[in-house]
Amino acid sequence: MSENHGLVDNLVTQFASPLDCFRELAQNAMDAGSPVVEVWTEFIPGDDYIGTIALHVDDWGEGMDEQIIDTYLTQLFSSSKEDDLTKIGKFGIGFVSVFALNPRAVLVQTGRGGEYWEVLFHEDRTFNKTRLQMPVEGSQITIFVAGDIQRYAELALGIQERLKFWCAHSETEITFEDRTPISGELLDPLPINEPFGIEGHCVTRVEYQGTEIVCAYQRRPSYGFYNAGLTLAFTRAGEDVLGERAARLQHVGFKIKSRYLEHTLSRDTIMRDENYEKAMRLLEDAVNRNLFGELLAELKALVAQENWGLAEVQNYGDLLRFLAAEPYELLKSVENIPLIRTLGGRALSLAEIYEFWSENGRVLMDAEPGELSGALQNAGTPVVYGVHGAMIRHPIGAVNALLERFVRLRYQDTLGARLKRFTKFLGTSRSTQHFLISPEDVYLPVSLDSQAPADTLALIAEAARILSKVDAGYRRLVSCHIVQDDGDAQLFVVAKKLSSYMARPPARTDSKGRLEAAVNRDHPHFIHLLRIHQTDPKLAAYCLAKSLLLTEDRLLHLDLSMMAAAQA
Amino acid sequence: MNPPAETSNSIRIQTRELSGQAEVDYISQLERIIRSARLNLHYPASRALRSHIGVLHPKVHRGLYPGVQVNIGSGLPTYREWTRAQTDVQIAQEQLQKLGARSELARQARASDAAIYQKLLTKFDYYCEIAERELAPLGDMTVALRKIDAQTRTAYFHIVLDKLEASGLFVRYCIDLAQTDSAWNRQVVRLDAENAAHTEQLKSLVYKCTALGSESTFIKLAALGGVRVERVVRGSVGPIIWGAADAPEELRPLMQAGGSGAFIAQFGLDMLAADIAEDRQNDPLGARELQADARLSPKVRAALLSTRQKYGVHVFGDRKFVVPRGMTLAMRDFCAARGTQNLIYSI
Repeated sequence: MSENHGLVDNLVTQFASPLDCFRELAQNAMDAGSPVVEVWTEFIPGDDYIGTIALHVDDWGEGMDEQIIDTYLTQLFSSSKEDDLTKIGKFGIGFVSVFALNPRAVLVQTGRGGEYWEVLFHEDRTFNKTRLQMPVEGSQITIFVAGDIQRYAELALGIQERLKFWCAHSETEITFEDRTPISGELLDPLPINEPFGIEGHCVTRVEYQGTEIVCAYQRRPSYGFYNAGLTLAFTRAGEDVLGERAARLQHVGFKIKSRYLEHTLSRDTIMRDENYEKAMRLLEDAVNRNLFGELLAELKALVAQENWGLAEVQNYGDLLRFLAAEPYELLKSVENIPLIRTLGGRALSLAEIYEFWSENGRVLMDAEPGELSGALQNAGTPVVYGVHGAMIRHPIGAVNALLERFVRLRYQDTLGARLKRFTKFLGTSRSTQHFLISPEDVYLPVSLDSQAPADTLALIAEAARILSKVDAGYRRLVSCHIVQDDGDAQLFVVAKKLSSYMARPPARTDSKGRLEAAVNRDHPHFIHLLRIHQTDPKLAAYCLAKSLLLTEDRLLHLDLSMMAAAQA
Repeated sequence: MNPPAETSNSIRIQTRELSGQAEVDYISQLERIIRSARLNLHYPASRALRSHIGVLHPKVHRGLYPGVQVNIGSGLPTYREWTRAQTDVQIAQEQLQKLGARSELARQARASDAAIYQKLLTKFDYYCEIAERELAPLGDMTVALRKIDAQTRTAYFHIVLDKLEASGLFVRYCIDLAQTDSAWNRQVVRLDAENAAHTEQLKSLVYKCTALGSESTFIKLAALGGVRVERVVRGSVGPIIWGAADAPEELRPLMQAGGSGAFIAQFGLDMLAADIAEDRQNDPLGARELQADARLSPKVRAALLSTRQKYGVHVFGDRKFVVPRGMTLAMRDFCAARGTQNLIYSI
């Protein structure tokens, strides 16, 4: 090995920390079939303040016989574990990493098949091999480093930290023990292992043969990659380890333990090869099916709950935030499931919201129940539970993001929208922004005339006849008084059914439903038309009918038909 | 360990019932022995075994059972006890749901002198403690894919079979084999993408063979077309000798000298592989040479020798022990006298 001195130097300095060699030794022990790895340290005082620091790694795996020692242990790059999916060690450089600590000596005692050996590596990396008479179980490695008690304490702490980072999810039990604690207080061996788990929403665990995944929705996701529980990579930098999948997983944290994953030669990241793609496909499946399924299940259960407190509101907002970030294809697949809470405690599906927007050009939303929202819901007009504008950072601000995104993408998905985009001269696409509106911005309290004056009735009846003749889509047209005049006088109000609250007409081009309309008899324009009606009733009726269509910005091409109907 | 409370003879195995302090001592000692044995992946999983044994501990079952039945031959609990613990763990969650809230059971137990209420409370605590416990498999086989060689159309597998044998010992067989894809060969391992699953044929064959030992397993598997066996390893937990009267002749003097607390726990290892340099017998209680193994007929002996030569394999036999501290030297001397160097752990 002394001939490869330079090569070894280059190799071992590639590791981020010299103490990462303990990961390598733990890996070797696991591959040897040891169910436990005991890492322990001790300080042996010398004549002056410098003593000997002994760092031990003991396992009771298969051990090594002479042939293995000669072929693999003492030769660089040799590995019997190449391509073996049941072993995690590759490259054969695991053991050589101990030289990163600049040890005075490294002692290996090992036994296999009735042979027991001791190999002592010197500072210059030459070695002596001796047959032992006393049996040895597995392999016991001791690294001897010169240093004082402070250096010892640093190393003991450092080893513990590196083991925690690299081996916390090891399938093999790993313990660490400081047998010469600086405090003088002897403690029990510290378990390094931690449960393979994750924090976040909708925590989901999925197992395949040779692969285990735990994933959750997280605001600041972290990504962990493991093989046999040893850390290959753990980072929040999605681009580094996920590449083109980073965008999809920007709100999903996970840990994946898989036989398909390997680290690069320098151990600083995961190898992106065919096997990596296999592992990532399993991850995608787990995220798109199991994790998404858990999100749906939680949302469904939550919206079905009758009484909500602050915790439920917070949870609802969090879950919708994550739902809003999911791919459109997944949203579309669940569009018929009731997930959106209304103020009345009902749940609507995304498809129903879209349908409502499609018919009305808007969707009502409010943060608190009130008289208006109660009346609307009783009349069959849903009011979504959500917040507007400046309150967008409110826990349920995510409702807006979800609905706006879904409606936009759903609309773009329609044939009509695609055609319009393709043939721009047919007109622009419908706006899918800012359609979530507070009921107060749309609905006005009205007092319907039970008995309007005769001239008003005549004018309105004639206008209604014209609208009916051209099939404009209104079941009724009556007169009313707007109770609450906010200064912006409204000529018409509309609704599915006449009631004490009716809406300002929306600007829409795809009207499907039949509405009922009421004209504000106090509006200056109506009063003016009443005067015209006295001398030219046909003109007045035409103008009133036209005004309604202009207000809703629809069917403007029916002018000639309306004129003919007026003169008939 | 205390003298047996009673001895009974069944048709096939001899058993002993332990209760009271004897039961406590036995289970506690058994857990310590298995922990101290440092069992690696060639043996049944130590943690699962200890967890399973723990269910039998009186402080866990809280007196719900009168005692534990021990197989004298193996020194381990009988099959009845292992399955009793297994069943209780499997039904624990269901039972907890049926029993309802602990607070209600406790209230009933306080309010009434009837023993039934206290028993229900005890059962609740018992099932609570054992729910989700890890158990040692009494018969389970798994197959893992090691690698695929596309050029030779060969897939390499690692098979692990854990079982509680009729002898009362827990054993693990690890089999490394390679299977070549060919129209003429019946597959013993199904490979779906890279998910391996054993066929029923392989499972029943391995179960039958492993009753005969690792060498017979090797021969039978090697006889299958398209299959190349690289290694067969058998690791066993037990027998554990608890009393001189139960000891085989060669170990009786050791047990007698060890006194009242003497025990000898044995963990055997049989390995048959192509990468073993030469035949080696490090088991002081195993046959020294194949030729000298009186248990085999000449015909069988010849067949075994022929198979070894044909496949270029060698055998390695080993055994490690766990004994009380005071018996360590005597055990070492015993092994040395038989020409072996064995790992001896003491507690």
